[in-house]
Amino acid sequence: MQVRRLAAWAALPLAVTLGLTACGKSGGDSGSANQNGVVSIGISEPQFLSPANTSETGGSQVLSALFAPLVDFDEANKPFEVAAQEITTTDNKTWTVKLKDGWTFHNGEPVTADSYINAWNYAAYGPNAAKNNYFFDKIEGFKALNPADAATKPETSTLTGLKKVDDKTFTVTLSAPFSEFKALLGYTAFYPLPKAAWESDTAAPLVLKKDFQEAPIGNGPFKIKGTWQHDSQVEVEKYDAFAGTKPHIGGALFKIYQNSDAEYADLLANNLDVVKQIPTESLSTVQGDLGDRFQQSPSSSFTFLAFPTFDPRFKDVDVRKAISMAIDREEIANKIFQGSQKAAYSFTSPVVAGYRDKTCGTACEFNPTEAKSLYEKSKGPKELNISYNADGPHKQWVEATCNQLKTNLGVECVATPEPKFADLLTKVEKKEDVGMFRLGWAFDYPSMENYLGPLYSTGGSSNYYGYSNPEFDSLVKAGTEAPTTDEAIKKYQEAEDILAKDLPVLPLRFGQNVFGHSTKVKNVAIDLFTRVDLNKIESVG
Amino acid sequence: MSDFETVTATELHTAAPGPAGEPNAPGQPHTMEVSKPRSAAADAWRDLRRRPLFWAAVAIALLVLVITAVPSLFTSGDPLACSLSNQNAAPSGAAIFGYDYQGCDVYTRAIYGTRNSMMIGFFSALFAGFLAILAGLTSGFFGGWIDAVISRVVDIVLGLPLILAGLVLMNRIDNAGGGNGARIAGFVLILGGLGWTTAARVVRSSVITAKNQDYVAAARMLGAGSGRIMLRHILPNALAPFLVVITIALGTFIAAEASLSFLGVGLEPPAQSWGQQISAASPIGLVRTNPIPLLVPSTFLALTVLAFIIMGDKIREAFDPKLR
Amino acid sequence: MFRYLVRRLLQMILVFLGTTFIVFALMFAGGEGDPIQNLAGEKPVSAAQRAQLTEKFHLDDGFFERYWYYLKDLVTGNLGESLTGRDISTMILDAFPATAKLATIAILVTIVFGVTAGVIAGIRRGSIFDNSTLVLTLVIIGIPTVVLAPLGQLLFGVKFPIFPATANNPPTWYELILPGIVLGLLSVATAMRLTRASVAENLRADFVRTAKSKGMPGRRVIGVHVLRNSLIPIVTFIGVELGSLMGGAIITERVFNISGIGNLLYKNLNLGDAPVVIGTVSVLVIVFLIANLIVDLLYAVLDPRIRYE
Repeated sequence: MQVRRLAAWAALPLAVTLGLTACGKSGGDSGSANQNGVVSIGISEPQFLSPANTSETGGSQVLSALFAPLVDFDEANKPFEVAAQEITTTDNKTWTVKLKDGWTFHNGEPVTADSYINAWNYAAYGPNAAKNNYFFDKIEGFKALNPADAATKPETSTLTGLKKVDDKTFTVTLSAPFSEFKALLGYTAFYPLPKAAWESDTAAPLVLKKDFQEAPIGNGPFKIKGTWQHDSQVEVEKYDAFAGTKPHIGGALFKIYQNSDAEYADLLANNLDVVKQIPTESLSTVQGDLGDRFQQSPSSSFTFLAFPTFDPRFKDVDVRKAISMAIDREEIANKIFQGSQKAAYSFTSPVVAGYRDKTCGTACEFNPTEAKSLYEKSKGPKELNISYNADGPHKQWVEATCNQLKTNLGVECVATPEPKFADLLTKVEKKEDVGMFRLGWAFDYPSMENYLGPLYSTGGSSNYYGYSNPEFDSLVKAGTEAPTTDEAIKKYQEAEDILAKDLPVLPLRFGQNVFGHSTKVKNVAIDLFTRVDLNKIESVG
Repeated sequence: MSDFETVTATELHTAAPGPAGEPNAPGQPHTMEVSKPRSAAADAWRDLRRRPLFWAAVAIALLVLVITAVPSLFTSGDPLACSLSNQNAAPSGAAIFGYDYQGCDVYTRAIYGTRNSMMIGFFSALFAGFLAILAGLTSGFFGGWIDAVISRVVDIVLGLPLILAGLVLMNRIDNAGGGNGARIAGFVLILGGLGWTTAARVVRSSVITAKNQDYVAAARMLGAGSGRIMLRHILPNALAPFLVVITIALGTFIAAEASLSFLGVGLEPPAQSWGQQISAASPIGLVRTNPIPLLVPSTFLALTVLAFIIMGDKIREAFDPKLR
Repeated sequence: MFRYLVRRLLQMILVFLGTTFIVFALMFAGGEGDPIQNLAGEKPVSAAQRAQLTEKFHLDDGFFERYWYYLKDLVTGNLGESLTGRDISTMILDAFPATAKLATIAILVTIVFGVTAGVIAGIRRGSIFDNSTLVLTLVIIGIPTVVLAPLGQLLFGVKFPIFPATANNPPTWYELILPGIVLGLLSVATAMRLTRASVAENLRADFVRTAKSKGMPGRRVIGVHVLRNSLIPIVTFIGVELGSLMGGAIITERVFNISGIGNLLYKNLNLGDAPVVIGTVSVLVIVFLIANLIVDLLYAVLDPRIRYE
């Protein structure tokens, strides 16, 4: 036993170079599609399987099979109607949603305006403590359902902004005009729920059946087969009465993995069809492992370094600029991420309309000599540190960034891990010494506003560093209330230009979906919410 | 057993012989305790001097100690000078084991990691050893309700998940603004504090065996007090098996830091340690491209552990007259 | 014997309360962290939402209050609900079979390799076999599981697919062989050293000399007298080991995607899901105590000199 293991150790490098090239060439989109084939997709254990609570990728992948959204997004990331017949507005404040005819839930119940109104009221009702509660904060009456003090029970349980017109039509009134409300409706939180989901569908407030999420009943192209097998799998099969565009496969098996290395090992062993996110460390061997079955596509994720405004060391914008210029973004993207992430030189992601390249200007261009002299001139701190959360894949790149700062600025730099993201946030909130810290963002809906608003506006939900510029705020507000998208984008771009001057954060990288698939499937695509597009994927043979 | 694989701390313990069963079976001669107290050590020394394996182990251990004390004797490099331009570069004159994923010199990092790893391993073993002797001796010697209480405390300690304790303590140290010294102390506290139970059981069972021997009864009749009997007549009898357990534990303590680092509760950079290096190099994708950054610290670790275990083993054999 | 059993069972209750109390205190002292943010991942949590969730999970109740609630539920056999609303007893029952199977395989590996090698090494002390097994088994101590497990998976699960690379849930025995070997190897070294020492010791015992001088054949001496007398420390070790393996192996379970107790505990520690962590540890402690009790009772069977009264 032991001898064999030692021999195996010695043989490892050889085996790596020889063995893995063998299966490299077998990929490709060939073979005939099997309409009844079942594809297996790796996911993490969902936290919840209900529209009001699902926000992580594992759960939303499963829900995307069971539910059909009001709108989906085309190649240009513009929303188009799926379950909705049309979504119209005249003033960006009151929106009329008209549903398509003939749609039913998997239990045969017709999809009506009430299916949406009930589901949305449930999620918006504060005491239900739904994770996706904040998606409804733009709708009139949200405040009344969410008193700041948890002990106070809201007096009403329905949003005043939701009105049923007839069985297939309802209106949504917002508390302020918002030109991109339609795009918002593509998110998981806005799926409808059948009457069967409620303990009683006439009760107020509505109570969701406790075991509903063990076998959710949706309006989507697939219905659940059996129940959610926790920590094991969720299986779905084609719903024959689905009124929308039919998928090309007979069903999908979502296999639940505890970590992405195990998931990738199963893909290599041909036990799994799709891995949505290949672990970064395996990217250097992925070409040999998968050949052309390894693919990349843009994702909405955006990684940046934040400067806490409470830290006097970073008060001077020149210090921030010097740090920014001392970071070689390309080198990290290429060497640590093996090209699977793209260096970022702007404050919003390329996947949204209105994105412009290099809005950050010279401040984000790698220029070690300039950086060093500027840093010395502005008397930057001799010791830097970058905090990150160790429960995510950040160690390697944060350390590499620190090493660059050490070399290029001649300072000490320490990459400081915090066990969890929550620990990092707690420290920032307590204004403790975290130095710079890493943050990431992925959008909830494809719009520049979904980067600018939460990340940089005063009191923005993810503006943990405390950046505040009234001029910026008013431009973003003007954008959301602009009558057309084009006018909105113009305002957003003006706002982004302010960021380039103020440099509240350093843009570092835009993420990519790096995914791989087996020889048994083709046409694998990952959508904007890092879900495998189940309408496109096909099973081979 | 090589680290904190299982949730409870039991894996720390290597040998876990129970109350009644120790290699040190009844009937062992202990006459030297009364007549010539130093002859056992002298015998052992005469025996050890003739064992080459013992000397090889001593040499390795000494080398490790020197590295711990003055790492700069062994390398002129800087463990913190890393550059991505050297990523995974092959071994060369400048770096005899090449560079890792971050472009750091693998050999220099392993040399500079020795100190922290040794400190964690050594002091944890010392702490665990102290607790084990204290608990084992009292429990075995007095028996009765004292024994019952201590045995149940052992049960409780065995039931506590190590990472939970690690997570809580490291968080506390962190929030209190503790530096690296505090973290090492934290490791010693956790590893030692949860890792003494097996050794305590070993000591306890040896003590139970020894206290029923004739020479103990004789000493008591001659008017020796409990303290004197415990220290002079019973403790030496328990030392040999104790040494075996605690030297193996020393190795597992060092390796445990690697596992805790892997689970997110480890030393923080710029502190260097073998565990840090191993856990950073262990993602399977990295091992497949360049296994050297993993193999070097693992080898350092394995050799050190081996040296201490062999030393412990040989000392035990030398002290045990029946095995000569 | 009966009185001994009763006394041990009463002590078990105390130990159980003690352990849960400490774990509860540890979770309360910081192990729990911020479960609300943990559940949200990196998404923002609004103040109103935080207030609602704090209320829902009783996060702002005092320590003794929460411990009291827990004990009260426990008496009625209710381990409570996780923060994601799942029944904790079901979660543990789901995870337990995988861990139990894995532990069984690991223990078999330990016995087959460790004890066998230990017996041979003990009989032929100082031989090449003795020294080389010493070095080889100890090298394993130098390689942490974080390295051993993924390497084993890569070599024997992916490169030379002798075994499945990962396990399904619930896992089959076959899927658990490879992880079981990895886990078992960890204790082979100790089992071997222990057996070797014990066998060597007993080979020199008076009763063996007597048996030999009576003319009893060597094999029978070893089989009947030496092995039987060497078993006690090994049984202790195996018993404690089995107990701790039942507590789950975090790294091995993660690498091979086994949804066992180790994984359950690790995942929920990371989430700061106190009810699940405490519930799981409580069950673990019971398993552990029972394993210890069985070991103690086995002594009496193996060694007639030991009596419990």
